[in-house]
Amino acid sequence: MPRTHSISLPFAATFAAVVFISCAQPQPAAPPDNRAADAAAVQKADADWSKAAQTKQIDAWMAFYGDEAVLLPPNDKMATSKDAIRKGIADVLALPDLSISWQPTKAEAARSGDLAYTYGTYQLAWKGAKGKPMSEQGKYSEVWKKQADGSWKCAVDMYSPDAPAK
Amino acid sequence: MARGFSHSFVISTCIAATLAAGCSHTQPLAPELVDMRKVAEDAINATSEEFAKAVDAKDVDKIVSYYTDDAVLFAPSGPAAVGKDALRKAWQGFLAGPASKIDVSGTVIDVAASADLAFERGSFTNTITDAKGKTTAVTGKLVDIWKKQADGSWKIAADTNASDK
Repeated sequence: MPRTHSISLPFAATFAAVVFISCAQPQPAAPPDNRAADAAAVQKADADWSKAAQTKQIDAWMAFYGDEAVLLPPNDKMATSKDAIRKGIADVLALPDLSISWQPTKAEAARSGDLAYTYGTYQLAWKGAKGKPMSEQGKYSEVWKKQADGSWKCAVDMYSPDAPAK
Repeated sequence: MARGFSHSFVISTCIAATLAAGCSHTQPLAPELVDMRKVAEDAINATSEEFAKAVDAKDVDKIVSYYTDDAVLFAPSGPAAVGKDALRKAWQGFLAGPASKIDVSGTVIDVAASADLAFERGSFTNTITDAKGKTTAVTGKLVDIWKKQADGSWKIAADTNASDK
């Protein structure tokens, strides 16, 4: 049976080649590069958050935080639970005649699309003691994490004023 | 030639088995990704320590070398410093002020699965000693955004902090 030899060698070579190729290929093909789209999505989420804040509804504000979010406000301790964050934000929203807004000036996402950050500037104005108009400008940084449903939620929220409010 | 078949079959099986064994080392992806994150975390920790040494040494050139070109520095009660020139000025101003020693604690580092972006957050105590030798401790918290560079090093893209009171 001289045929067996000639058939089986190509068979061996092909089999080996198939295994080799599947091995040499860079794992599962690299996922698509969605960094620009992810950054745009995070920047939009942050801008939507600023709009939601203007309703001064605490639930609307809180909806943008992920489950393990931390708040790092100026002139106060870090808040590491939802309850503590809620209290900190409620204090801000309780300022008389509050107006609040912020603008993300930068957004960037990781190649893997699970982590991103934004930073920008914010403005606060309210009525202080004896109706004195108060205002504060500052800057903030936020870390965002993509959720299982594809939405982005804030994991770390920090802000600080440019100068004491006056 | 019955041997012909069995011989080449054995060869092909051997080659396949060898290659498959070689493959199986790299097959489970998850542990590899976890390792990439751990490697990144260790690198960021090491870079943070070098950065702290540069601050202790008041080496402004060295300090700014740990930032990306378009990095920002958000200090408490001061306007944002954007870009290396502004960062240099901000650091020069800080280092020219009263002697201070910054200690960072409670650090958490979280690295993206792709290990190209990470954040670090923690608490700091800045112990300031005035001209009369009196010390004051200012506490606060920090969030740093780290980005992996083309050369594999990690640099700070955003260095942001706020004081506790």
